[in-house]
Amino acid sequence: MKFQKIALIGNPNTGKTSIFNRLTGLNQHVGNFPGVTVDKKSGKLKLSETTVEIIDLPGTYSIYPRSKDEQVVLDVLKNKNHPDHPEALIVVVDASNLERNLLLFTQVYDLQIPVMLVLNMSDVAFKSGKKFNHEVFHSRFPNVPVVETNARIGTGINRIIENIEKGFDCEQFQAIIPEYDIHSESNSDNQTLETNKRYQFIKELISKIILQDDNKKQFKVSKFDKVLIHPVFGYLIFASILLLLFQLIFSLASYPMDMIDGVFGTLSENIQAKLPAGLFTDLLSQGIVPGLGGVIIFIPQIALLFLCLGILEETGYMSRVVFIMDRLMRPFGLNGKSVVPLLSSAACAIPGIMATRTISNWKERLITIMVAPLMSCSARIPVYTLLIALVIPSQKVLGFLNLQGLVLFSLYALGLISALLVSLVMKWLIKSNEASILMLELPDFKAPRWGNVFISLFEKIKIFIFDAGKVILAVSIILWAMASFGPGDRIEKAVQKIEKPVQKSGPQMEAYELDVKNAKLENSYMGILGKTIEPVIKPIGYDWKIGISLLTSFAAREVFVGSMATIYSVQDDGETNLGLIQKMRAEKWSDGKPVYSLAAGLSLMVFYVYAMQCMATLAIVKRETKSWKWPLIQILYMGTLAYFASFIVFKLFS
Amino acid sequence: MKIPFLWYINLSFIIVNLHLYNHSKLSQTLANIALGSKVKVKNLIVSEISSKLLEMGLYSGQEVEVLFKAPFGDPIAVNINGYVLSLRLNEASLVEVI
Ligand SMILES: Nc1nc2c(ncn2[C@@H]2O[C@H](COP(=O)(O)OP(=O)(O)O)[C@@H](O)[C@H]2O)c(=O)[nH]1
Ligand SMILES: [Mg+2]
Repeated sequence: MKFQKIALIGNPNTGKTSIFNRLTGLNQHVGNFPGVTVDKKSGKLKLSETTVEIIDLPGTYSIYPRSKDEQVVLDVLKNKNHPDHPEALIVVVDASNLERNLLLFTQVYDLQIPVMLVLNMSDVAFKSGKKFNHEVFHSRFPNVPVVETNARIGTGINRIIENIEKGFDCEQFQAIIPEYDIHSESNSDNQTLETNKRYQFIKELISKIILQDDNKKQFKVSKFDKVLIHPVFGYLIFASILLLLFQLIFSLASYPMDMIDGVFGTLSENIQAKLPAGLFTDLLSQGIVPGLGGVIIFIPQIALLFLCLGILEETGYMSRVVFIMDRLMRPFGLNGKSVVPLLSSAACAIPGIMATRTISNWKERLITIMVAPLMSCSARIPVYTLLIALVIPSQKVLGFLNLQGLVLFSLYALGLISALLVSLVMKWLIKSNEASILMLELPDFKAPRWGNVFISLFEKIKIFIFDAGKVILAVSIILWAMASFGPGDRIEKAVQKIEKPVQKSGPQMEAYELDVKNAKLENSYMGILGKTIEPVIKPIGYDWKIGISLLTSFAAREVFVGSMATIYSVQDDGETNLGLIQKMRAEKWSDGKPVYSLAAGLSLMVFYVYAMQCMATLAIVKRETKSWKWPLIQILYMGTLAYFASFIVFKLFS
Repeated sequence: MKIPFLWYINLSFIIVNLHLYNHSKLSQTLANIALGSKVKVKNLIVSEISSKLLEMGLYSGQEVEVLFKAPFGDPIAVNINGYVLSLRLNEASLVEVI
């Protein structure tokens, strides 16, 4: 019998993904299970003659589902016509913890799908003095091949492949629960009865197939755990690790990011210079290339963050974080597992939102995704820096606190507090019949397996580029078109009005070019739209110039600064922007009052705390929730919050 | 009308009994077992998640040991047959133990 499709199934943390990676290498991709929001990981295993598709099913403790992920497992196995229904199953179990692990094995065995049993973690089982009696197991399950593996170093993987090559079936099937009917899923009493019977069977089986060396059975609490979950040190260590992580991301990510920025900038310039002038060249050099750059620029942050998170996950530390944070997050409708995604969002919401996959409860995951962009990400820093320098005097408060620093800190705090409060509201608004449960296994501490870390890193980047990248590119081209075209010959006329200097170089020419850039933007559709919305944003203290920058910075928050520079015809120096600040300070309303008063400045900062000014985040929310509904709700609620909060701040300080 | 004296005694007995019953129920779930003590699962209180608890290995007769508690005492971590399970107090309180 030759298989075409085989699925890996097993409890979480038994090593399914490690085995999957060993079998398929980089020959894997993430797709969709039809009709649901759960990701499907599948890959190709090359045999001597054929190739087999291997599917890594979501980890589950039982065939009876408690979450969307687990529902998929049941759907795929129960329905023979399901496009992903496998011809055979590889049940991966933790050999050091057979009792609980075999429950799932007995359940899928009774479905009469051909199964292979993989006793993974054989090294751990060996250390705890357990020996598996293959003969006895074989006499009860003659058609089930059994392979002992250690997926960390790869022993036994060949035997798995051999067995797939040879094939296996369920000819001598002998039910554990006769007349077992999976449809009893709705009836929890029957389920309990059935599970108890299965445990009965398993206990008896284990007493025959496991030889236990009692001298090695001792179970000890790891020394690490005493410190890592300590009420004081536990939090201190977590805070230090976070600090280190952010330090790493901020200091290391900027190099490749600057490089990407530079490369794409040069590419644009070269295209503009080398290709004949025209619409196509403009589209390529100002629309597509910067759009692609706008996708690639996120990769360093995503990669670094997932490298760190991957290491923490692999070592087993992550579940300790969940353990010590769960109680604190629960009142907000969140889960201990929401902590890392939320805190990651303080660097960038994109990897943060992608990291919510580990939250199995859909409601809790959704709330985490919805509030993650409220955390102040690194793209807000240039905006905050500019505005603080503009309206907040550099003075000391209480003798030692720098007022500017204090404002920056308050903006971060505002983001965090708002994220928690919005979660609280969503907890009441979003209905769910999935019970909120924690119940998670705390795995032993171990050194990370780099193969696993890098493969999952690679996968995350691939998802970002191919799934979110499309949307980002499309939106950036639309934004470019809006900022480069205007009705009729409006732009041309405006440009012609500017006096051209006699000298073709020097400061006069530079000033001329800046003026042209400004005229183009002001007279484009974007510029016109910015002017049109002035009545709407005037109550929160903004003029049309800010309006234009709000619109353009939808591409990414930091674009606000560059856009302001264009509007004020100054060079964006990417640092202190003193020239820009001077011009902005001089800006007056028609009645002579300054535009950038303290009230307007604060209002604008608060606007940037709340507003969903990032299309890349929207694209990834669409990717993770698999519908446009949630990103739309997100942009609306955040926009509304931004407007009203800014309004209040503006009125308070005017 | 007066309530007969014996009724009073009866009533107080019922109250005391109720109290004892509640008390015994409280002191016998996994949620209020001291750190480091080993107990046996007696019964799972029927709830939405009782089959989930069962699937995690908490069947009647299973030996469990409370290994450690998170700051604020919730969640807790228990040793079930050689693996460490963490669960919230409200989940643990559905596991009656002896
Ligand atoms: N000691 C040991 N650790 C393993 C073995 N297989 C996997 N692991 C580790 O167990 C953890 C969970 O593995 P993973 O493949 O992610 O499990 P999954 O949740 O079932 O996909 C990782 O830290 C692996 O490195 C093994 O055979 N022995
Ligand atoms: Mg996995």
